[in-house]
Amino acid sequence: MNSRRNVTDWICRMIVLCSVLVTLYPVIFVSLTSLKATSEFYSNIWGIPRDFAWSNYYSAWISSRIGFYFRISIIVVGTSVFMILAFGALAGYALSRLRVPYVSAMAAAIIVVTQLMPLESVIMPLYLMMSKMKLLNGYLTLILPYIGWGMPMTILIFKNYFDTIPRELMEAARIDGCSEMQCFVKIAMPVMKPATATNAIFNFVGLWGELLWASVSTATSRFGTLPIGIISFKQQFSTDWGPMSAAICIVILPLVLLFGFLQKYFVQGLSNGAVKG
Amino acid sequence: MGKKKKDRILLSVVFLLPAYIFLFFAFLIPGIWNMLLSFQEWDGFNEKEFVFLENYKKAFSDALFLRSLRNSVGIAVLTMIGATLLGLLLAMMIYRLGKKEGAFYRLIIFMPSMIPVSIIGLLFTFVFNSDMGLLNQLLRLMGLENFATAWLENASTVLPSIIFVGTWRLLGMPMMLCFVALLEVPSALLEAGKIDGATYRQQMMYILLPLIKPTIGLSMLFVLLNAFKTYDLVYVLTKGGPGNISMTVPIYMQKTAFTYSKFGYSSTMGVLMAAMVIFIVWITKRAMKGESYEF
Repeated sequence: MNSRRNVTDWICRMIVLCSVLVTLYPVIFVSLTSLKATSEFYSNIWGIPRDFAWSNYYSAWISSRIGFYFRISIIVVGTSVFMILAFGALAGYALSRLRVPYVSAMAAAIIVVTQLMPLESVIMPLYLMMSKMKLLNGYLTLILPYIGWGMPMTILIFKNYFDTIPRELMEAARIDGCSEMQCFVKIAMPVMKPATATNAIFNFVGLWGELLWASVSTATSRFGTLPIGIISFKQQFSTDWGPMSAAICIVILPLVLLFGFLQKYFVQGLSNGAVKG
Repeated sequence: MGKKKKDRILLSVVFLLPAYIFLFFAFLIPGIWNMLLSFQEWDGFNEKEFVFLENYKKAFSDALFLRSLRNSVGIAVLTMIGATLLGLLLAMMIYRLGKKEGAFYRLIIFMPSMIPVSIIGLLFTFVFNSDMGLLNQLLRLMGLENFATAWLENASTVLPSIIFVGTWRLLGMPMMLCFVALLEVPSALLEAGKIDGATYRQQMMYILLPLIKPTIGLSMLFVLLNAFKTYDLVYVLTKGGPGNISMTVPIYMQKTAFTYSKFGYSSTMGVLMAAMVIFIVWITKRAMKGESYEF
């Protein structure tokens, strides 16, 4: 009996390890390729690079202007995520704790509707709208819609999270004379780290690679975010595998760092029911 | 009391306002505009012309639109099934392997969910490339040359390839959610099953799975809503090719509006797409409905 259990354990382990391998391999491959000179790439596809061609990174960053796009992406995504978190937390708190009749019901209904709307069905009118408002030539072109698109999911996750704070805690604070504002600052804010981490990760990841709106709204200018930069890079030098891979690594790196830092809270956020339907 | 209540209303309005201004700006106003535009014909410069249902009639007789819609829905639904099923299986296996070892696998398998879709598309152009690609190299290495093909240029392999990439990308989230849900099932329930002589498989089938059914439903919805966003992936992998075989609605819409300047018709497709998404989400929700348990 015991040995059969062990065998099953090992079968499970092998299958899981296989999926780990399938998951990791493309990423490892790209990291290795990013350090190979293009000539070496063709002669040595699988192996570890013989001499490290760091120049790939230089050429991707400077000559292919990935650095230029990177700065724009950092500003656009950073600002958007910050605003999303701030506004989302406030709205989530209001929906979860302040519950004003009618207003709350309406607000919740709007979230359900917007969550189901595919972006494709708003892109084009939004483009027309923003061109009328003369907002099609800079950071705001991207930041304003990004904030809006991040809202439904973020509000919902914050709301679900605030719902888990025990009612008694809030009541006690109110009886002790806390105003609503003080309740928010003193009780809700300190415990919302996991929900904030979950939201920060979801939004950062979503926006860091956003391509549809970025390519539509910046089509006529030289302005653009990282995905735009990478796509145009691919179209110009599709056989330059080394610098291309270096560019991909440059895009992935910030995400790995962010996830590394927030991972603990992220898992906690998920298990505390931050994500609920 | 009266003043407190007034405070509460005021504060809630102040808290809700910024978020909802953005929701109106980025969703509701353009959404309504889109709806109106779908009944009109407009090239972007001349006077708009009200044509009522003309665009809708056109859509239903436009073979390319119907194919795009079928592709979009097919990709989303198959990706949902694949990612949820694999995610659930992996979660169950990792659960069996214990908390410490599992944490490591879990993080790695979740990783693709962190990589932007456009980048994933690029990664897989490496994998699927016909002469230098990893997949074909691997097949040749194993002596299976006959199976090597131009995955993304071949009409019969392009859609399965896209679905495979979608599954690869999205299975991390169901795995994570299901794993967390499994951990929350009290071990007393499993012990009780064990005493009654249930095998591991029986414990899974009759105790754990029914208990985490709401989480499975949630994972399905999560994957579904993400898998419908096919623009980035398909654009990077194939741009809808070869010869429109893998065309999806967002790419066709964007072409119609910004290349052919048919804004009205593009909006119509947007409305139909939204209706389709809502319909399929509703079906999924119905199918996964069930009582939830508190423990």
